[in-house]
Amino acid sequence: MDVLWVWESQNLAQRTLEHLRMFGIALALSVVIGVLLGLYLYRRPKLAPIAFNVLNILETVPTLALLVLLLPLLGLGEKPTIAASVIYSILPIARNTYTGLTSVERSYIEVAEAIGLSEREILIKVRFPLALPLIAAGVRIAVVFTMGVVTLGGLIAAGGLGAPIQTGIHLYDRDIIVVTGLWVGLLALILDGVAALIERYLRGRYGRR
Amino acid sequence: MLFNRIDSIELRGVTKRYGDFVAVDHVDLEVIGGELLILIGPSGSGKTTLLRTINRLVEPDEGEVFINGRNVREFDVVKLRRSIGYVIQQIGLFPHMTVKENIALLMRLEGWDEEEMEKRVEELLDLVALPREFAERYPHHLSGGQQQRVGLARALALNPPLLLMDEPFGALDPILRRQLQEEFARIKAALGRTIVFVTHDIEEAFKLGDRIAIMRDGKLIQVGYPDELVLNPADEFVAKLVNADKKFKHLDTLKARDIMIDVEPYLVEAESVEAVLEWMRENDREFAVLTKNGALVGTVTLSSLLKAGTLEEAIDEPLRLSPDDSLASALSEMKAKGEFMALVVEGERPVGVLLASEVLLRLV
Repeated sequence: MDVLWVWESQNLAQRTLEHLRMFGIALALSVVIGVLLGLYLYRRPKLAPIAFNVLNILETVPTLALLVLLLPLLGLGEKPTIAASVIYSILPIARNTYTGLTSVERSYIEVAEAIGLSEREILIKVRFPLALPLIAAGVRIAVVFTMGVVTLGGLIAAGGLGAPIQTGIHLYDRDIIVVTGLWVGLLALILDGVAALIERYLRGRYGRR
Repeated sequence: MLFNRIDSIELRGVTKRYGDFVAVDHVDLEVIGGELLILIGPSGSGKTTLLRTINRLVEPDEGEVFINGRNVREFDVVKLRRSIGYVIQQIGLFPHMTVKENIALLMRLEGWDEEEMEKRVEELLDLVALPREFAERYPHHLSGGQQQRVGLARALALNPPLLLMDEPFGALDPILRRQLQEEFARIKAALGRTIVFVTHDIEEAFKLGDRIAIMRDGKLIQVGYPDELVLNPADEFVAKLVNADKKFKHLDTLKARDIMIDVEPYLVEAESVEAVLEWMRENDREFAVLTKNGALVGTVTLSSLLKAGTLEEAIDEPLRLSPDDSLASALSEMKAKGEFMALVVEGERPVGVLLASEVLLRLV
């Protein structure tokens, strides 16, 4: 198997950058939207069951179907790919944010109230920091989801590492498929590893003991 | 601060119900500015609920609470609570903040500048007898007693004229509880503020309280100075409570072994300051009895260890008693030497610790 040939002919360095760019944008959007949604639902807990049901249903739509459904709205390429990643990743992040904020030990909240923190100050100074480990766990799940969806984006001309896999399938070239596939897998492992380290740090810093 | 000093706190007809259960039943009580008032009673007597009506953690169903003549309902609840220090048994230090961040939390929210905060935190650590280097530690690195000291420092951060304390020493082991009570009794005068203090320990009540309010089943049974309660108890319940330990009446027949507490949990064999500190951390103690081959060497406290360079410097020579010493003579000796604790030894082997309460000392 000629790894070097695949790497150069398929322009994998360039493809990797494209891939990580999409991944980065998608994950950043997911974190922002997911955390904000989690916060919003914490303030409006009556909406939480409905919101999580809707997100759960979205979660069950197959990725390919979702990409196709987004085509008429967003066209081909990066946009529908990023949108699909975000749609999948909101659930774990929003759910963990919500759970993290609502499951802070009652005694901490009571003390915070008793010494004179306002609702808002309790949220910022106590609830949110103590929810961080759980939020990080949600983000870690989103990392894996996003990696998968971005790779599938190759099917709808989004570029990235999905593109050479597509090429490999069309040309019936086993080398291209295997080399690119392994590379995507390795990248996913590394990113998940980084996310795990961040999660572990936050658990040590803000976790319960 | 909503008020700089407390002239009086008045509770008028305060009643709180939870469903059919009446937690507090038409209580009228006045706290005099500057005093330490004890609220005491069995669990479920409503003492904590009553305490919490003062800073509006509990809103009464009937009746009113006045501070310096103003109804607490007129105050903004956040401002009210910041003007009142609050210490509880569970301590509730925030695990994600260092000791310093915990103590300085309210100062930060009040917009103090860094330098002021730094200075105030050091002052407070000194006051509660914690080394300044503890400022950067996280609560889970501290023993229960140290955490409670930080809890007290946090409550005093903004210098509130009123302090509410809900069984602050309740979760500590008996010797540590006495140590902290001693310390607290010492700084009480320096604090110079009004304190309402909940406990179910009558010895603690007598040791720390200026006046004592006795509650049962949500009702206030009697309020008064300790001697009034002892001499003129309102009913059988009060009489029993203030004489909680009937043993006190028969001092002559009692021996040291009858009321000493077991020394076993405090015994440690160690050769260095570090080893003893390690043991204290693991066992959550601030006091230890050092032995060598089972024989008594001396006693050490956490604060003496932290100050001392070598183990020898940290060791105190405790007052030694024999198990068969009569309690009366043991107590007079302790009183004469000004010790609140003595070690009971059989030959060289420590077997128990004797703690003298104020009540006992007074009765001798």
